[in-house]
Amino acid sequence: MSQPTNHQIGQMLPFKAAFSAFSSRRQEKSGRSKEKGAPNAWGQYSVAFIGGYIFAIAASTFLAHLLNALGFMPYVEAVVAALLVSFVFYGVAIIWAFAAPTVGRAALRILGSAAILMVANAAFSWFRGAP
Amino acid sequence: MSTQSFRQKMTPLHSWAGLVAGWILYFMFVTGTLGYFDVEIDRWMSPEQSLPVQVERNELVETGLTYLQTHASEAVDWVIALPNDREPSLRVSWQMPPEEDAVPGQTEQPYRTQHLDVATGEALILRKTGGGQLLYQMHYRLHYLPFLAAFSLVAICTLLMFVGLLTGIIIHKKIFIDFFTLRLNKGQRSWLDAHNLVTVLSLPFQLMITYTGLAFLLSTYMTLIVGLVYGFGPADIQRFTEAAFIDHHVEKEAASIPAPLFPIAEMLATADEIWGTDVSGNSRVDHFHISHPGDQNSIVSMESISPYPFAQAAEDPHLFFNGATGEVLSAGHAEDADVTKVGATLFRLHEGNFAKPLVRWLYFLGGLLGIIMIGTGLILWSVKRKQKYEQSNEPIPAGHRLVERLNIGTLVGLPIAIAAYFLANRILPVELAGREDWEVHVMFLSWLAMFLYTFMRSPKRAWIEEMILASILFLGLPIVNALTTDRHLAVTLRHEDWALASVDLLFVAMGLIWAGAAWCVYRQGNGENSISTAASSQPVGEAAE
Repeated sequence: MSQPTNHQIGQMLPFKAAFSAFSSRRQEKSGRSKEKGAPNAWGQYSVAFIGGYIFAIAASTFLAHLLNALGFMPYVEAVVAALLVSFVFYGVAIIWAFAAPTVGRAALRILGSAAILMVANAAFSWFRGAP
Repeated sequence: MSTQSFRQKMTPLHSWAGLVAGWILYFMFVTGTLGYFDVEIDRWMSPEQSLPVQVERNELVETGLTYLQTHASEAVDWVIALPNDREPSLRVSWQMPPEEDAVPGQTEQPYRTQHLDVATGEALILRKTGGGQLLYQMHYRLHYLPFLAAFSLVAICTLLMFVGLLTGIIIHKKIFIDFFTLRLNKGQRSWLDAHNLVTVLSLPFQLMITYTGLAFLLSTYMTLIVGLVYGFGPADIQRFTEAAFIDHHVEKEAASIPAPLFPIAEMLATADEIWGTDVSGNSRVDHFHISHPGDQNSIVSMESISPYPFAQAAEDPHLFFNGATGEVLSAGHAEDADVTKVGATLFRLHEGNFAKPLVRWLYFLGGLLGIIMIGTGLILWSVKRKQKYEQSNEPIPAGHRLVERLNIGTLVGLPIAIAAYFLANRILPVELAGREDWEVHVMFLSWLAMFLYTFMRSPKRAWIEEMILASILFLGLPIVNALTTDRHLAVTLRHEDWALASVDLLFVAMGLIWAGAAWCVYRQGNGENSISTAASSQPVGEAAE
């Protein structure tokens, strides 16, 4: 399979309802209703953009703790540094979510690693206290 | 789906992000690119301002001080902005003390501004206009919407732009081959080539401008990071803010003991010594504040525009003087941490205030390529799908027709609306109440009209006719300017006022570009391949390879 067809791209649009309303006639004619196993578009976009945001926050915070714990810089600077790179984490997380074979796997990747990072962050805060 | 390669999986994300954010991003790129010439557009829209005249700086300072002493002797703060290469006018502003019955917390009075004739020192009466500043503000706060709603919309679109760039790079494997590839008159293939060529050519700029744009959103949308480290109480966040962004401003309450102001000329000389002059040998002092003028605790704070994009250790954009004694009070920024300087550098790179004419035009070119990147991307979305419908003899869905018309109404309609904004500046009566608001209403009403127009014509006719209208409007602007003001090309070129002349010249260039575009669409429309018919005989190319 070389490229996703129009039909699949149409399905992935979050305003799918509106879009499929426009193109319902076409679907009947071509007889290609929703394929089995096609990714749940809403789920995939939610995992990528909402899950990705949580991941970006968790990973950036972890970076701030790490920079400080390894003695590179005081917390103030470490947090500024983490802020500055946070959108890189966000962008990478979105792509990572879309690279997953299924929505479940995407959620597992993004939210699972976010959870692990948050546990590490909690541990840092517990042992080192707020600056 | 799981058999798809990583690259193929990115295609729907790229298409979706581009389509959802494309029109707003186009608006942001157009207004942002014009924003690099905000000051020049300000001048064009206030033709009552003086032409550049060489007047000794100390004389200008005296002119400003005399005006402020006569008209704003009670003020708590005076500002004098000196002429520079971009803006050869003398501007004074002042802030009156809080009113006695003012609500606590809202005691600050707004600044009032007056332009003075550089040669004569007379107060200039300018027409009321939003100017280039308003156009530039639309870049990040749109218009008519509440600030937070507009800012959030802009934030989401900026994120989608970032995602679009990253996925675009992943999808686009033959990055160097396509750099040299532009197949014209091949329908979809040509639009893809154009989209690729323009983006690859300007990729460093697009990545820079998008990521530095995101940097402006950090303090609003990423504060959870601060909270997770420092705690979520208001005092916790404040503890971070105070430590991270040290306020270097020197402020003092009024002592209510009168003291004469130390000669500004000497303080300016000191500032020139500390900052040095720029490459053209001009002073770097842009403007200065005089707080509590005539008081013993008066402070003169000078501000420079840095000629460097990078925040440097020795670079301090502010200098503070004791207004009564002329003593230098502080040079604070040198103590900033390295990461803070990196952050400041990101902001500077985005705003480009440091840029001298050559670099400023490169910024403009980068923005222009960004506009073309978004425009060709939107057209590609439409052309690609239309072609498939036509090949399979399926009816074109209404959603697709809507996208096609929104494309015309945005890609050509927005430039028309902006031309209408400039035209309104010249044509609306000067005494009209709410004149500056009506300029903007004219802009958005014309835009709306351009959207409606696309529904009344076939797409091909709509493309051509709107392009012709854009061309007529832009070519007409310098003519209307010549008929209504004495700041037209014949005058500005004779005075070698390149800053102001370049605005008119840019209008001419825009007019010619739109005329050329209309001609191309007209000629292609007679053949097989165009943005509107796009029935290519070659097999459907792969989406973005």
